[in-house]
Amino acid sequence: MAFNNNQINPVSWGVSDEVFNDPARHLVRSPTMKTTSGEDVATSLQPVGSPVDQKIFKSRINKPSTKNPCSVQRISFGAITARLDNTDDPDLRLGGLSDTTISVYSGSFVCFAYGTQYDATQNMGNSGYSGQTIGDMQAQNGSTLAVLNNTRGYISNGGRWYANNTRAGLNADVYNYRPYVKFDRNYAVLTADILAMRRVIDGEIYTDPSAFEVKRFTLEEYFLNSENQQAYPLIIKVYLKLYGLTQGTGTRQQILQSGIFRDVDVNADDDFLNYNIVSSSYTGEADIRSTKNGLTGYTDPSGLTKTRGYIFSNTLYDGTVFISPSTDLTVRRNTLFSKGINSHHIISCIYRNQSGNYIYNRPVRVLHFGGTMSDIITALSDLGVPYSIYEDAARTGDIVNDPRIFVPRYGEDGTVKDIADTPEDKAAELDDNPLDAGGDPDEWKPEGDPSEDPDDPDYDPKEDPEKEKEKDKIELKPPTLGTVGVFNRSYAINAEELKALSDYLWNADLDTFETILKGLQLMGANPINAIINMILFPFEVETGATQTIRIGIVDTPVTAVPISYNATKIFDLGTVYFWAKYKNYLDYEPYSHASLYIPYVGVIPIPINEYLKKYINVRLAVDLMTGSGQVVVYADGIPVIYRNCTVGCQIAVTGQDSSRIAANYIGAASELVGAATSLTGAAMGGNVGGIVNGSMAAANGLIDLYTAGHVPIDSRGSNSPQCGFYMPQNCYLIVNRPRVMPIDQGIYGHNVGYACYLTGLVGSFSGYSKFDNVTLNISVATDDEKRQIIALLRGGVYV
Amino acid sequence: MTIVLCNCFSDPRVIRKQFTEVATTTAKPYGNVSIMSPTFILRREDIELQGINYVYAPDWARYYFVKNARIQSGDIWLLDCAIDVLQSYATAILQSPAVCVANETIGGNMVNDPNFPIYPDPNQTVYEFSDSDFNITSATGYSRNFVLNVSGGRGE
Repeated sequence: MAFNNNQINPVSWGVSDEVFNDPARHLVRSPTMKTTSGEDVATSLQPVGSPVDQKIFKSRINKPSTKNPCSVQRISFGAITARLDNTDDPDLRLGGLSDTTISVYSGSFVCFAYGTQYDATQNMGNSGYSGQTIGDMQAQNGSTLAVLNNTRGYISNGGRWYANNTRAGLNADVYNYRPYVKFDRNYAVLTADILAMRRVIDGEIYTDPSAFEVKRFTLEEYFLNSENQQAYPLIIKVYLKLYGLTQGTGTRQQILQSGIFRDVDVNADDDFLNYNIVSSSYTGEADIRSTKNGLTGYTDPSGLTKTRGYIFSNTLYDGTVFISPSTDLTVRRNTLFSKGINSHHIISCIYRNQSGNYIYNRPVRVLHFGGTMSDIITALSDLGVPYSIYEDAARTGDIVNDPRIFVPRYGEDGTVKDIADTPEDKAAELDDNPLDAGGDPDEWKPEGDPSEDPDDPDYDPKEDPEKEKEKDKIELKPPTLGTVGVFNRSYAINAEELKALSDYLWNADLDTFETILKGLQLMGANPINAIINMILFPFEVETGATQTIRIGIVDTPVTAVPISYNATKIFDLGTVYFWAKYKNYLDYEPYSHASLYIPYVGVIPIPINEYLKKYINVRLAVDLMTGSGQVVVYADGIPVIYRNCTVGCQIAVTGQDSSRIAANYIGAASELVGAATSLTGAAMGGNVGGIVNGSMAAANGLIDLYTAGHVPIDSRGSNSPQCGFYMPQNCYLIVNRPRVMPIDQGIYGHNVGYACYLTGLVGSFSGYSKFDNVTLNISVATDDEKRQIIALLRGGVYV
Repeated sequence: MTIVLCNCFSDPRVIRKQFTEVATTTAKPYGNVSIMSPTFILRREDIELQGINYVYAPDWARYYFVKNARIQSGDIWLLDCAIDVLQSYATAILQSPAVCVANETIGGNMVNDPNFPIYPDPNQTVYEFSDSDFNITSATGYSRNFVLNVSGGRGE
């Protein structure tokens, strides 16, 4: 597609209506999208896309790296010239010298606006530029930066060309590339054309300019057609063509006018640093064609009108100097590719005047591309845009499903690492980019955004990430499992029931015979053995229905209230509000002190800062099995102090061992039977008296055993101190507050001053004031005077 | 040099003092001159020096307190002066940023003031907590304050 300088440029760089009408959303001021005649570019001609959010764009600027190619190459596609910054807009310097190269990590394809405004204050070294404002994609002769002279292929500055100024990122001094719009990568497909020249032979003199014919081919036409390659072996230019979706149509059209890869610079390592697309207002093709005949007129210094032919005027380059018969310009132009794969031929150019007479012959060099199709494809791929060597694929092909379209895959550093060529891989690569998703830039967070990293010093979460875990109270909850009822029983028993239990254990209501019977009934079991402990608590443990106390396997005639398995009790010992009397620093330490008396714990000091102006609540958790307790002191529902204590008082349980009593008697009775047997024998022998005496003796022995008090008793547990029961059974808050001397507030303030900590100018205060940390700016005062001033201010002055 | 004899009735610690000019006369610095504490020698010339306690030296652009007035001989007076830096640099001082740590009327309630007078013996207040569940001082024979823990089988 040939470029027509007067044609309305359909490439408005993708500003949608919405965005276009809202310049505030643009990273740069919205350039005037005008035609050459000054009319607004039609909306229908504006391809899709949206301005780059400034925040996102900046966040994607990686640290400079000498090895990291400036990704301007991806975003300068279509970038024509820089827009000079003479405003307060942020300066986004991209690229530059090798040590200042900045890469833009962009998952999307970002286009830069065509430079529009020329700032004469910038040292562009191009005094020939007019500085006029130009619309998008419009280049006017010699009036924009980096645009080479349309007809002559060099900057019409009459002298020097600051090559640095024309290349994106080459020089960090003056260029401020401004992304204007971003395209999702599924919006555009890139392809290229080749401009090739017929074969030339070094040293040969060509008199027929047709020998230097050039022709433009698509990549497919050139590299897949050997005849074309043979006929036009020298690639002297590569044109980029970007097909992007057109707003409202859903189809792609060429949104970049036959862009020309040019002015690529390389660093010392032959790495691409940037590309700079010159306005398509200049086409080598047109020039070449126009110079196909090799004849144009010029006036040499002698005044003689001559003709000369510039063969591929933009490639006349011997490596350092642009050879021109008329001027001695220093121009350096490169093609897309690195110097390493460029080569040149030396040909002779015939210059003839308008009459066709030979003027002179001088050798010129033709710089042409010495690489292969693979090199071109690599260059396309590095732009990061889906690409194809087939133009129809670029125009209409489905990016994901068309096998002729490839999608470059980005690495972590923002450079292209490899190619996705299967539908699955291509779809994944296109999806794996938040910008491609078309999300709200404000919500987008790039990979590795430091703001997401809690370890980053700049971490600044917008809200507390743990907010849902916030609690305003910490409750004490009784456990659902306890030690009571597990191989044991617990009873809440009152004093009356205890008496009955004691009587039972001591057989108080039984005579000897009944005791023996009881012991026999116990079958050798001693109830005392099954008692674990008895504890007296300062609170009522349980109320409810009573049942028989079963001790071990023995049912007693005593009843009590069984305690449930959850034997740990939580008691609320009351609440008090800690009032601030003075409502100033006097309420705090070291002026005021506070302590708590807690029963069974004692007096504990409490930090006033934790409790002042809060509700103090004391709770006690008790273990009914052991008598232990733990006190928790709350301040507005938050536990602050924990203390262990012993709440219950242990009581030793004693009683007769009835079973042993019975056993003892049975033993004695056996002896009696024995004696009786002897007695019978004696009776048989006629010694009745002796028998009777023996029986009586045996009987008397039993009576002696009992009356001697040899009755077995047993006990369980031991007594623990009961002193705690004598102590106060309520909690108390004890506060010691200072007593303020009565003063005259006016006199005190006037002579002493009330403490404060306020910042400001000395003159902003009034009355008696003391100042510290004074900054004096008195140039005429001596050092002693300044010291005296500071000392006086510190000691107190009247303002 | 010219000096202006004044009567100042402001506290020495006032930054912008109020004073009245009594007389303007010629004086000379006397002895080893220190700009911080000069001594001016002057001729009385019917100037009533009793009320003179303040001097302005326009040549030095400084104000001075009169520390002492001595009569040397006859009508020769010596004024021993000390610089008043507050008045001399009042404008600059008032424009100086600073931290005010005490003020006549503005007090920070939560700023510790060790100068504020308090008595050494504090006032003690005791607050009793309400709603204690302890009943040991009021329990009866029917209060189930005892717990009997026994072995055997499964509890209720």
